[in-house]
Amino acid sequence: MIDDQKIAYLDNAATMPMPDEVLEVIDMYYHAHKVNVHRGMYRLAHQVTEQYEAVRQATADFINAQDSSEIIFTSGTTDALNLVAFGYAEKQLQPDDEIIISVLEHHSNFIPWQRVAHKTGAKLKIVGLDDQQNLDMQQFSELLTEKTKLVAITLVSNVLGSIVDAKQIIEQTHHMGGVVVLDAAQAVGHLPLDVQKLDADFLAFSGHKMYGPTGVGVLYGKRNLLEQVAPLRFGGEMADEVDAQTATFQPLPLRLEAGTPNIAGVLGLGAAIQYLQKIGFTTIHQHEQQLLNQLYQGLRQIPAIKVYGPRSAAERQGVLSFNYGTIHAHDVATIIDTENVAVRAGHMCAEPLMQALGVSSVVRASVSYMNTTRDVEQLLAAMNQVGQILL
Amino acid sequence: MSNIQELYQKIIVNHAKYPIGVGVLPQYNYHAKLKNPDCGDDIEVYLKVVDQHLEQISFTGQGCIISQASASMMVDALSGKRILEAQQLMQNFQNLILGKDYDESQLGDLIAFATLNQFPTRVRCGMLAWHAMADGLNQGGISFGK
Repeated sequence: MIDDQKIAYLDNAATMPMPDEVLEVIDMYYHAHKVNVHRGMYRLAHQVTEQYEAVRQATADFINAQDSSEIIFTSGTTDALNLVAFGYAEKQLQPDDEIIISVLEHHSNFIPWQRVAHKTGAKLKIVGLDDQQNLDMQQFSELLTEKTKLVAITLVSNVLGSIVDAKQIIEQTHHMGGVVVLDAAQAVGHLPLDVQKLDADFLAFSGHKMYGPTGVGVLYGKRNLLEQVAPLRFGGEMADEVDAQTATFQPLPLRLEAGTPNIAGVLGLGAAIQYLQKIGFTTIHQHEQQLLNQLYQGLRQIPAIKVYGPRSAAERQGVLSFNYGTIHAHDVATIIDTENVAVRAGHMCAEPLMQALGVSSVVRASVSYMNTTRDVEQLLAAMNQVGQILL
Repeated sequence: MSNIQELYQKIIVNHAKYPIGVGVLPQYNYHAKLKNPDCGDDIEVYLKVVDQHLEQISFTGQGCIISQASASMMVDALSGKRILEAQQLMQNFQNLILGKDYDESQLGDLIAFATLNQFPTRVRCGMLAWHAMADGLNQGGISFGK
């Protein structure tokens, strides 16, 4: 659809398109294999269950988890982060404990921690930006104490594209005895993830930001920590033995996956992982860096444009946000939309960050491997229209 | 003129650049703040109502060209009007930007928003100030509708 309308789709940070090989797997399931998993006695049910569980293993390999039981399928990043917040943190935290998050966080890694802090009496501390608009690591070190039980932080900012030094944050937090939750939603389609190398405790991401379908995501957790996550949903698939008054539950991972899962979504996620592995992150990175450079250099030709976040393309992943003088981001987006350029404009579900940047909204262009230099040219040409119409 | 040029025609851009009625009225008796959750923009509208008349209107807040121009033109169109007239005009303006039947003779400069219905994601921007005004009156006990 996007192709047919000659749209330069530059809103990949919202959701990425799906390549044919992903669509085919989903299509095949719905056309020919639509049976449930983990319960049928017939061969097809067994076959689809095997495919479904093979994706769990492929996901574990994709992020270098130790074991496939550390992979919980969720409906997306938001669902995964809520599971950690209310299945784990709410049970662990005491009044006087502290949670650290950052001003870079998407609302989905912000509001759950506000709620957990409110419910437990724990204190919520927020790391700001330094004068380069990067995460203020100095301030982080100062906020981190032995009271810090949990740090929840994004790997890549969905607004600035800047990369957070998660390894450093994890090392320091572990040193103080805290647990780190990583929001990898904006990272997963652009960067190779290695949970063991990072020593991440929990990590969440969505399928649809890595060339897969919507409605499926992953919570990774270290086995000993996942054991401490209480189910938030109860019902089929997660139960073991049930009598009239009591029930026992399945071991991990099924204990945290109540109900019929998003089977097509999980199979599509598996195909998306294969797609990413086939192309390889080195190639993806080179291509996206080329596009971001072209975009940055092109926007710099328009003096009124202010770009937010890191100066060089090398310090950002996939995303570039800007404003055109004092023109409101929505006006820019509407005008370039009539030139068939799709970008995001608004607060990007990151209102605390907008406040830190001193703006109410920004225009965000975000690229994927599927974009071409023509898409960027189309955006740059459309920007001239903005000037012609409004200035 | 293309739809987009018509939407951002001079009268709208100028109202946004040099808006009428910006600031807080010294003696308002009704007011409300409304936020557009899509973009985070907000508008606060202040009203001085005397004898069923909108004697004075003003607004504060940040927003896009569409929401700012609409607020400015609203102040221009409604100041001094009877509540009943204001209600009718809001309905008429809402019909215009939703692409429904409207009475052009009543709209004056507001007719400049005629192509807004071609941009459905922006309809909310065009109604923001008007809905804030309606909220202020409704919350203050004057049944204004919305």
